[in-house]
Amino acid sequence: MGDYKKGIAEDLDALQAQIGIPCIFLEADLAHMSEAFRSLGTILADKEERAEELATLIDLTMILAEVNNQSIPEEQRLSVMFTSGSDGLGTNAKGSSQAQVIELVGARNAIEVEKVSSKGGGNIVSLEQVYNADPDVIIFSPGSIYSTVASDPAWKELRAIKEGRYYEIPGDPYNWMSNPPSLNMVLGIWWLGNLLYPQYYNYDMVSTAQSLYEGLWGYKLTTEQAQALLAGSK
Amino acid sequence: MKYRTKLTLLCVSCLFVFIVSFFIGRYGIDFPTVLKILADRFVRLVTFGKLGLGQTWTAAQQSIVVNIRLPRIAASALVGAALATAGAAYQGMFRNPMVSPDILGASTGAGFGAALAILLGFSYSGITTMSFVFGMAAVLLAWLVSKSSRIQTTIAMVLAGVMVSSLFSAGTSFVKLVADTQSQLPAITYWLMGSLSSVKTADLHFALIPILIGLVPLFLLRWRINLLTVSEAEARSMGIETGRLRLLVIICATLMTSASVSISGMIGWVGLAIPHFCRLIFGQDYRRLIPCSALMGATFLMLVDNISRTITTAEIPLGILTAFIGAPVFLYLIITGGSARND
Amino acid sequence: MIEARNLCFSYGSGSVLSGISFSADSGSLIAVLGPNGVGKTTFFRCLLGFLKPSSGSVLINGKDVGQYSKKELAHEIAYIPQSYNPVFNHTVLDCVLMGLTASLSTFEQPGPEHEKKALQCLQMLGIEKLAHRGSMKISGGERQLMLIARALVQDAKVLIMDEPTSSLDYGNSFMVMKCISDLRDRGYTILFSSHNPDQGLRWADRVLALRDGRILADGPAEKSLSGNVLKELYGIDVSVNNVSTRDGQYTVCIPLGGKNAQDV
Repeated sequence: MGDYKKGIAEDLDALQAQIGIPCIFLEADLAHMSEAFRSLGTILADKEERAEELATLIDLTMILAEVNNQSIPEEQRLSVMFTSGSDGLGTNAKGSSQAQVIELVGARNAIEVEKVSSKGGGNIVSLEQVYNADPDVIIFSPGSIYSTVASDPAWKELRAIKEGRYYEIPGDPYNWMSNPPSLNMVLGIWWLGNLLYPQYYNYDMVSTAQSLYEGLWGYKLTTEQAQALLAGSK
Repeated sequence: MKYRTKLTLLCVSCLFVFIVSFFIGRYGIDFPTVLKILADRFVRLVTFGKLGLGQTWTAAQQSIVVNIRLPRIAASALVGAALATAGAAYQGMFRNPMVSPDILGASTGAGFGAALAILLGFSYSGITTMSFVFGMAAVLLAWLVSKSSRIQTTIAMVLAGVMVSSLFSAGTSFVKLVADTQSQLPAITYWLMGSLSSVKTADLHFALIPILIGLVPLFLLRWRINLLTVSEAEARSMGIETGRLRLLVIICATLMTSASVSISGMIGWVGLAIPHFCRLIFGQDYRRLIPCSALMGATFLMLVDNISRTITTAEIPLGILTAFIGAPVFLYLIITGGSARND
Repeated sequence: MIEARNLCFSYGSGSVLSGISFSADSGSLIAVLGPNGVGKTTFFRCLLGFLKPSSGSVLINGKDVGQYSKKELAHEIAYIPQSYNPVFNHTVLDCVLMGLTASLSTFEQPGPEHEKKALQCLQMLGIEKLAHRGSMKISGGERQLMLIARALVQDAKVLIMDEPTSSLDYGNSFMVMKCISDLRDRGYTILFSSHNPDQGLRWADRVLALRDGRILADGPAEKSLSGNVLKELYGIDVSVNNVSTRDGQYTVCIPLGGKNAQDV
């Protein structure tokens, strides 16, 4: 399951021939994810109910995003830079599958490059480009420079840093924005929406995180755990 | 053209490229402002912060010139000089104009150190340090192996270097195999291709000391390096103890190479091609070759880095650009047989 | 000037030199002859202080070679290799300058006075016009003279030459040997090894013939190189004759035997 790649059909046919187990590809970027889960439910006979649950949750999320996306006026759209890496410059630019949550939620990707990388590390940009792009908000993946960026002389003159509009993406069980681009992105939509446009995405993120965890993974997140997860979102 | 004139031209070019590099960058800053910021920095530097020009520019502009461009340009000059000088010295020591600073495994070792650090999730400065340490360790290993071998020293060193290089290269491949494909592997790959895009002032300070410790002795002993190019028997009969000089060259070149790779990743061809260019222009005498390689290496890498940061929106790794330029030069070397005109 | 006293040397269990004793004063040109592998190279290395004798000693100006520092030794005795195949195209002047390194302090670079001295040595050998030519671009003979100049610049008065003309053609050979004998006239002590006894006869004052690691003969060339000595050295019959030329009487040796032996 995942993003469509050219030649995937041939690859899977070959694999199937090799291992004798049926191999199927289900396109599962966020737009197709609920459909993918429904298909999965049909294929794996005894999981139909569960598949329907997940699919419904995903549909709900997508509708939420769509509705708010329509509602947010153009001039209020924020530009967001989604970055990672030990130097903070591995950005997932506009058009990359990792950054799909940004556009879905109603924001703009601040970084545009000529050739978008589909790799997890994204495109490496220079800090000058970041200054040029002047993002409203910067979100750092876990393991990046969120904790040190405010005292870094090269970064601290950025408007987003000066205004304190930079956050660390929650990382359990996986990065909520992407990496891998899977179910965790569902959390990403709820989280980023609430972060950027709380008047539209109007809910308490802590309890929402708890219900999402339960719905997606059947895991009961305690309030403290939820709060810890969201520590970098203030 | 006399040597003096050529040398002056080289110095002037180096300085020129250094200053012009500050005007290059994605974030547009007009020339007068850049000059004012630089002048202000210089004045503050020489007066220990007591005096400065009145600030007529934004904090962002200052940050970009001083915290982004300055470390980057200075680092490319430093790394270029270091790699070229190390290459020149090694070529003399191994009596072969086709030798590069990586002959004893410093770059491959440093590359492995960085890959391992990325795998283990070290911070940025952890990666730099680990890279430097492994670069030095690789050469130490090569040296120890060659010392305990019965084969004649120079050949033993080359063989040991090949062995150590493959060892660490295999190690790096293994690290790439087990690394997380989403985030770590791309980071490792990018790092290995060589880049100065995230060089900070701290990196500059880190690399400055080992590079200077390597450059200064090589500069002071530049005449004696000539003696390494004749056979051991001849050097000995001329009263020169070559063993110690060789060891010193290795230590200096290794310090410089490891430090360079630790902040800039693997940048090839500079150490091989620049000394050769210098030979063509300045002749074979190491009294000239050492300083001129350093200056030319600095100028070259500054120019290449300028290209790297302007040509596309995403950065082109330096190692790729130097290879595009260096490989044709090497081809030329092979065709002409490595010999040069004399001055 | 240079003296060997009962010099013995062995590599491990094999003895290479035994009981070599000889001495040479200034202004002598000595040819060291002997078959391959007899120990000429080992002998030279002991004289130069590269090898420590198993027993016996080598003295230069009365002092044991082992007691000189490397720098001091370089000022006393110099080595000229058989050939020089440079990897880098240093100028002839720079090559000669290298010989001066022993008299420089560690970080000193050669200055104008050193260059002047190097040029003088080149002049002594008649090749000063080659000073700024690349060492890879001169002829074999010129290169050999350059190496001699490099040895002279060390201020050493004893010169050890390892087969100085073996890689040279007939004409260049002559030129180089002529220069070497001029140096002898200027007071240098020169030992050279050769595979050609004719060279010993033509140029040397003295011949040192080595066989089985011992001195077979030591004395003036015409007297020491008899047919018997040559037969013992090389294992072939040699006829030693006097020849008259317009320059005077010379002794030459001619190997006998082979297909022309029947023709008279």
